Amino acid sequence: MGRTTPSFRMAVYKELDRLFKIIDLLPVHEKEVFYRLLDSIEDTISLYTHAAAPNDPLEVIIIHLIRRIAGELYGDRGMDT
Amino acid sequence: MNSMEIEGWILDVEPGDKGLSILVVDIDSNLHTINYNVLFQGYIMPIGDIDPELLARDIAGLDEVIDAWVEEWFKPPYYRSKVPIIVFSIDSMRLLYKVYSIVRRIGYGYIVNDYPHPLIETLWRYGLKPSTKVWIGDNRVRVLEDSNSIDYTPPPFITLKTKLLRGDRKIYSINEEPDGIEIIVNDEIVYRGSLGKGIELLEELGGHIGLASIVEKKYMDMVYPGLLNSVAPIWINVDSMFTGVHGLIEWSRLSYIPVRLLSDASIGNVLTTIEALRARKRKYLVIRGHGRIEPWRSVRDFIQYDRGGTVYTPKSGLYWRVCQIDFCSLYPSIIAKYNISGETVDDPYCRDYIEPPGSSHKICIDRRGLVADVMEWLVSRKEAIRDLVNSGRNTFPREILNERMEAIKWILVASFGYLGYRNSLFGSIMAHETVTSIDRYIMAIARRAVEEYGYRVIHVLVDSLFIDNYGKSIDCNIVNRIVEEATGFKARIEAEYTWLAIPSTSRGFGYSNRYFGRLVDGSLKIKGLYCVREDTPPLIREAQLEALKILGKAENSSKYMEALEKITKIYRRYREAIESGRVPVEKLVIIRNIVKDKPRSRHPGVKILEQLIYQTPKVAYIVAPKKKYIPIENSPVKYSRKYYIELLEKAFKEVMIRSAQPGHSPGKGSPQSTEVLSSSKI
Repeated sequence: MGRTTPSFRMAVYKELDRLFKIIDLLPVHEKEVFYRLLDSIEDTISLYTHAAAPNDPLEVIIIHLIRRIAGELYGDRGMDT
Repeated sequence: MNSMEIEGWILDVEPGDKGLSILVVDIDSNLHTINYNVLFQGYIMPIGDIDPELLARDIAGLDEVIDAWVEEWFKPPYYRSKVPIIVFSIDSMRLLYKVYSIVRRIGYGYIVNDYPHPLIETLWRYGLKPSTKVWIGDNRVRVLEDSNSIDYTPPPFITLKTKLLRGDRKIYSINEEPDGIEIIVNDEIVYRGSLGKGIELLEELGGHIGLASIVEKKYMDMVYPGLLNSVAPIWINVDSMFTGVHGLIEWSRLSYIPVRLLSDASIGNVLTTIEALRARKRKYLVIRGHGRIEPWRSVRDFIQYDRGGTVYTPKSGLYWRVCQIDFCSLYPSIIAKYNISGETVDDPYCRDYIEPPGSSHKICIDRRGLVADVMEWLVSRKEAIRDLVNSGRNTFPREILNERMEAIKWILVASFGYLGYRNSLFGSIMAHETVTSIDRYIMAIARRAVEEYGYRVIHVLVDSLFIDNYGKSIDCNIVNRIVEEATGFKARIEAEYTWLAIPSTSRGFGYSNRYFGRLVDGSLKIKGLYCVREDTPPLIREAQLEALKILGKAENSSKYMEALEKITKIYRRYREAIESGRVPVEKLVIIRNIVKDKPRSRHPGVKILEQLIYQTPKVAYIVAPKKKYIPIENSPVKYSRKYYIELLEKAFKEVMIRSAQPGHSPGKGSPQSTEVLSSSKI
């Protein structure tokens, strides 16, 4: 376990750190949107532990953003509504 | 030789000049040493074209050897083909090794089946389980009890525990001079007082199994040579004990390893011995170092499959009404159910196989895997003890049975790790990976199932699920049933929390392995916090526990908030005490084990060792100003206020968690964020 590859979680954390440096440069109202969208990213990171780790940790962040935006748009009922 | 007859329990076994020397404890707790003639067996695999029959005849011709013959044994790694093995019998273990050295010198064959130790193998062949009741006489042994029973009579072994004291505490290292001693016989304190009188009493007392820390044993052997060994024939290092004496007895009965040898054995040794004895029964050869070589793999393959079990990154904060559902012996159950063993995973000669979910490996189902077989046996034994305790039909106290159950649990815990250990005799890295991939699949099924019923999975930790109902009431029995039905694996309610708190890492995520919570029965469950860590100074432990005790009384959110206020006052009190510089150094001691042969030079323990006269397995020190590490033996006076205040802050940051709202719906954003008090706010 973990013999050759760095911890998947650490890779995601590193990407998030990098991303937050950019987000912090944004105007306050835009910054708030990002903070809100990235909230609970722990859940998406956790989901990935069940399946294969992605080649690029950014995938986790993108999937999470899609989850959150979809949630904001369609709520819990999904796209059928 | 002896002609006497003895009825009693086997305490210890050693190889004698001929046969075995067995130490028996009778019903009146008297010790008897009895010689028992047995034949040891040696195993040799002929090299190259050497005719096994001829070699067997040559070996049989050696003076010391009683008999030699040829047997067919299955060869690792997949135990598909048979090879001829020369088996010889001999009446002395010393001579057995002499024959081995002759064979090695001449170069006719390899020594095989040398694990487990010939002594243990002999006990197994003769059905002599240590710690069982036997009758010995006339060079015959009769086992007087069902050696497979789970509710067996505890042997009347007397345990003698010694604690060397300095003031009110145990000595930390052999460099310290103790001024007192505590003597505990069978869990009862019989003496606590001056060292001199204690030593006199110790000489009068007799015991069978001595218990002392490695520091205490070393000190006693140095200052009073031979005393402890004359008081009790067996001494166990309490520092390395995973279980109590009844647990050790259970291990010795399962593995045929005498209790004395268990003192130095790891759990892995116990497990591997059980497996090796099972392999003997199947005529599977044990060849040390043969290994099961992992094939070449792509980097993508590694990323995908070379991973551990399911460990979530939880969202830190406070959760109300939470169920913790634990799978019962999940990894061993996976191994047993899916027939996972070194020889069954990716067996190239297999006819029928299954492809487990989420794994790149194939499991052969042509025959029962060795590890799977052992796991099934151990899991069912553990469950049988649990059922017996729950039914209340146990003959002996529940505590004893719980210790036996705990001992088996430890073997099961170690079983998975050993599967992937590079020197594992019966595992392979492929088998190891297969287990974790099935675990990840099972946990995904469990998550999906509970979410379909509207619950939320807060956290998953290998075989444990933390589930809530978004703060609303929750019936853990229902949740447990959902998990069991969805996965097909047995689960149980490990804990039912009024509230569960998950501290935050410096990055703001929740810790995977640190949490605490109030259970519905009012007690607290704590995992991974400072107060349960071994190297936490007593003052910090005390402070955090005091805070947790107050939090533990909070059964609703308003009382929880009140408790947080009270905790702030506790923090201030402890902080002021540290700042005053008057905290006794005893309360600030940090104890660390020095276990590595080549420890890192920056490790505080190593810096301490450099300052000591004698090397010691444990070091105790305080952090002095300018971050200097001073061993307690050097009587430090001043301590680093900055260091201990920082430690106190961290300990309180761990427990001061507030969350105004129990949760949020995924996708809708977090209505109220979880907030961890920063140290500046305390």
